[in-house]
Amino acid sequence: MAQRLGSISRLLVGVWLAGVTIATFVIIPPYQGLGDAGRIVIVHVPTAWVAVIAFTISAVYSALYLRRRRLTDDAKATAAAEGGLIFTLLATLTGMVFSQVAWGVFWNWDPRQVTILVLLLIYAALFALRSAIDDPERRRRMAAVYSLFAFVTMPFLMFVAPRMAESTLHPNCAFIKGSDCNGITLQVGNVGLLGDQKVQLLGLEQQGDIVVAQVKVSTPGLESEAVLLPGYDLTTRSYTDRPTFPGQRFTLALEAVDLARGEARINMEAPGSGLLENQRTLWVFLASNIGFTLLFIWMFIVRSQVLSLEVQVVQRKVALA
Amino acid sequence: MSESTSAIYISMATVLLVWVTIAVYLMQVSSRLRSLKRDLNGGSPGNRPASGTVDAAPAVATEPPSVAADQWTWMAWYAALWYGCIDTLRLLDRSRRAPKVVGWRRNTRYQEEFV
Repeated sequence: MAQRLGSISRLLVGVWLAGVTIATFVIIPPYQGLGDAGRIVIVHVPTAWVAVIAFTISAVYSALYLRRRRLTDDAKATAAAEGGLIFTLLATLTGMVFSQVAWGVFWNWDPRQVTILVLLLIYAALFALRSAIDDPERRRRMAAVYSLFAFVTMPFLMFVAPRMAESTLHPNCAFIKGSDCNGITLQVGNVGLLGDQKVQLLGLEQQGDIVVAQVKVSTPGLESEAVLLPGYDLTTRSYTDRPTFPGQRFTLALEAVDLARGEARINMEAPGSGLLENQRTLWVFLASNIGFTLLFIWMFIVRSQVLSLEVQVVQRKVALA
Repeated sequence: MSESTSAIYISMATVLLVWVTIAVYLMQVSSRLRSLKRDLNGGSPGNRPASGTVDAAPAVATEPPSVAADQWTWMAWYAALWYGCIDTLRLLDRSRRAPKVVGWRRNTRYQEEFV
């Protein structure tokens, strides 16, 4: 009976995810500014979301192992961490492809990219640690403690650090209302960072109601630089002209100007924000999140069974020897 | 190929990458699970039925298992991951497209000069 229920559940997950995949390419309209590349978000965000769930489950079972010392808890903690590592890797790769299409570069050391890379390496080290200790009991105990410490960093790396950055190209504003994407305020002559681009406000020039800023932007390593001239309308209090960064797809916008103090708020804008305002996109996105979560549960159950059975086989072999 | 056509292929390839990765993982894990269940259900040599086929019986370890091989595999993966990340980023950084806007120039001496 349980086996039949399992088979039906797996079939339903498969059908659900097949539906999500078809809907990704058939139901969702192309997003203005991104075109068909916006569809990557439907798999990118759920993979990151599932990684968070997986690392949380891993931490819970690690704590349970330290408390109860049951081998199945260790197997479940390992299975969840392994799933989390796979989904983090997929989130990184799909994010890189999105980055290439949306921003013109695979990797630009955006705060979000850096933090997920750090998280990936932290959890990869968990498996290196597990394989470096021969004594099984000590290995399980050390891994459980490490997993708990790794989990402490996860919320910071996934949610806090990227939002602490003054500027990120990652479209937080598309998903979470109230996210701070305000750019930076610079006085004339000052230098700041937008993403990985060094920007310097060289001057502000008023032409009637329009203020034009001279902003020097430099790519990482100062390999090339450009002077961009974004404009700002003092009457409508909005930008007039948004020049594009050299060789990339994001634009530079003036969002506020204070001529008396000689300062301006400048910001990077990238295509991708507001993607989920479309209802069809939003529903497919939610369905994808549910599907990926169910898929992870499937992977987690199978993998934890394998790990538990492996322990049993090893114990039996040792007893026989 | 137009930019729009290219974008849809890129999206499809990305989705395919995700499914293939997960499918391969699930196939490997499921296969391992079947194999382990078969081994455990086969029983130890002492419990094995006399009429059972010898070939189907699980192999019996003659020495305690070691994690040494597994250890080296994981260390190799970890090193490859580090190297792969750093080297890929270096290559990507090098292959950046040339800037197209007016007023740019290659800066080799870090001059702060208005162009």
